[in-house]
Amino acid sequence: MKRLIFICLLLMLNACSQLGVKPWDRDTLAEPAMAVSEQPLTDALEDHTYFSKEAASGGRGFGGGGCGCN
Amino acid sequence: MPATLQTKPAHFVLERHSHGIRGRFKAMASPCEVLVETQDEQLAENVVTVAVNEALRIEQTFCRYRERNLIHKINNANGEAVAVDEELARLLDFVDHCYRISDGLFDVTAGVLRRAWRFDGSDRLPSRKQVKSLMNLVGWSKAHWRIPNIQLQPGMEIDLGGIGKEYAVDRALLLAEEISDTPILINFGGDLKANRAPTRQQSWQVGIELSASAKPQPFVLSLDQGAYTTSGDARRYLMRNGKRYGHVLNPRTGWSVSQAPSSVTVKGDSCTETGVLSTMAMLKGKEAERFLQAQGVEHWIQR
Amino acid sequence: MKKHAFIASTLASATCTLLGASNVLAAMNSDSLWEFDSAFLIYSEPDRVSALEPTVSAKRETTNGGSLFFKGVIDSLTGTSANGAVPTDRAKAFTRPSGDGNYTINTGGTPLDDTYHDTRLAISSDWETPLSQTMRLALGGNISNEFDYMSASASARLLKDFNQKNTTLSVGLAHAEDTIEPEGGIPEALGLVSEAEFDNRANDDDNSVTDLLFGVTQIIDQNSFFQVNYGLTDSNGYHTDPYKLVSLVDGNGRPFGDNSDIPSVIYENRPEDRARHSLFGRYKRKLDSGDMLDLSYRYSTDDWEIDTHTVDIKYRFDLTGNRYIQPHFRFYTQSEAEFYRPFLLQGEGLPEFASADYRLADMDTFTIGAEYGWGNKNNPWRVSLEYYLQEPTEPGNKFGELENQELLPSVDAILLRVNKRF
Repeated sequence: MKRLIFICLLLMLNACSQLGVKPWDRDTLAEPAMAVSEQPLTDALEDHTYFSKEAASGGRGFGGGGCGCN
Repeated sequence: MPATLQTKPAHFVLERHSHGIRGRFKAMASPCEVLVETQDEQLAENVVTVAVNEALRIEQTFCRYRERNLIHKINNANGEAVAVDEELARLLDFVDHCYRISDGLFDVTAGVLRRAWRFDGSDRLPSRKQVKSLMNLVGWSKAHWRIPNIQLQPGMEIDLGGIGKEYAVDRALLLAEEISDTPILINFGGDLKANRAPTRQQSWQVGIELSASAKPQPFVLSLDQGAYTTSGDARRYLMRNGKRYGHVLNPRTGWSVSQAPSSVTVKGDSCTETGVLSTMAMLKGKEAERFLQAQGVEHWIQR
Repeated sequence: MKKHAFIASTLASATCTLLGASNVLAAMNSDSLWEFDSAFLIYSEPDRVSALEPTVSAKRETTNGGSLFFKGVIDSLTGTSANGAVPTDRAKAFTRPSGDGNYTINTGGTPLDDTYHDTRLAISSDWETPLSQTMRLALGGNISNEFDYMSASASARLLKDFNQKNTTLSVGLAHAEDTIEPEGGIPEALGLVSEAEFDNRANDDDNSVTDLLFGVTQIIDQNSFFQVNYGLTDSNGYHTDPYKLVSLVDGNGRPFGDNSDIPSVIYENRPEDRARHSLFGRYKRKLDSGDMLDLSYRYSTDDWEIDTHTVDIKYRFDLTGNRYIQPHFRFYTQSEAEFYRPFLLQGEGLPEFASADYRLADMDTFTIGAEYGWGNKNNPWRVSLEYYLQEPTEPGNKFGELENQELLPSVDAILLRVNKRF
């Protein structure tokens, strides 16, 4: 399973070099709503809620700190 | 070692109004005014003098067509590196930053394109070949800027005219505030800034003339404080086969920006900033509204 | 992927640098360099736990193109929570975690522990700085404190852009040290709950967690991008929940010992090691209509044999006048932990690890709700209302009296959140 994931990632990285936009076409992507992390507070609150109610956590990025609730 | 610049004696006219004193003069090819809210003629004269001197100094130092300044030296260095002074270094850092954050839209090396484009209302468009060969000389990334030296490819030119007037407004107001903290508004040809709201009137009233094609629509800005710049496309253009080619050229392609608004006014904290934003908005053509909305700045667009 | 989300603000600080006499400009414009954000969440499970969570953050772009970020959260919890013991047809008394006194559960109800009020304060900061035209470093720290739990963590992340910033690779490392000092001390693992036992306990124990995260963000076209993260987490130390219990049931499915009205319950015990992998993928696209789609999927697996899948969909309808409405749907499913035991049998040997915490059981959860945003300059106001339903799977090995009881009822909650940027 791990090897499969690794190979997928390598293939993706290769495919990645064909994708993309020229620097002057970044209008839409530069809009605040299209940011990768547009609502950090909401994301953190959500992550924390699900962390304390479910067995898995994270995935999106690094959260901050533990709380002993899982 | 730059030669000593000759500063023209400050030449301006003072007028008294009910709300204060206004100084008028001409600089950077534009009508300029400084409004000082005071009845003290000596104070007004001092403030206006400082502003006029700074405007003229900037005009002389950074104007592309003055023979004896650093810019001229850089543009005629034929591939050699030229050391710059502290002020120009800061300006070059700034235009470098603007080039990067605009992903190449804001480019001070695009001035050479005027050799192919003459906006005289005729139908004489440049040929593709002409534009293409000039484009070899366009592109800030082709320049080597690393403090304290700037090195252009032979034939390239940098033109700070795009932010010169706006920078002058900000600098002039900065210097004026050092000698007085009364409300002052500085307006160099439509790029203007006020340090604070006036006390004797509701707000500053400034008429901005934006000529759209057939009917000029001046509008009066009521402002408290802040900076406003206007970029316009209405007066200079070429017309061929019913299609209008405005004078705003895209530095990446060398061609006229299609569907550029006839004018863009942006409000902000400094003219230099808003000048960059209004220029970029013009370059975005039909996307001008979306671009400025995404920046979250107050703006007015006329088409 | 670095975004000059507001070109205007980085332009503002570049202009300050240009104009030199920054004290004049800064005095007028200092508030335009800091961006503040706040949110308030109310989480409420009818008849169970409620939480109030206000949070505030401040962010500033630094003149070298980096940023500084601070955040504070207060998490105030009240109410009751399932303690893991099985319900039964006779009233039973439980001991409070601190050892002071008993509380009685009436027949048939899920045994809940009522000393569940807790206030947590967490402060975190993050500093990002460019190392070169295409590389950035982000360092973060976090401290979290509640009356029985303390956590301190630090993280470092390196991000590099490729292909004219169309591709961004990131690698990050984080480490946390937690100390748990439960009310009444650390209970004996799988020990019988009895009042006398409270005297011989250790005060606290600890846990350390190390996270490694690899990420790729890739722009697809003018309107969309995707993101893939692969994470590894290794956690060592005290994972047991000191307040959770496991019932020892007799041959009739009742959790009582011989001749006794006191239920036979033991403290749970979880393994000291937990190693987890997770794979996360996300796709975000702005459509021609102006609407936006945000889709993500996460898979995780660990050596406690908990496998999870999460699907999250948000669709934002762009309304006129700078407003939007965004319905949200999330589905989550997990398989039970290898040591999950809804109950144990009296007389049989105890396993090494056991927990009856429903949050480690086979479970599906659903969230459905919507967010409404309004206001100029990127919708500073947002309100969201969501319904969250947890449906653990009822154990299949019930017998005797247990068959008349619902061991793992559904738990539902309402979440109300308000956000304001300023």
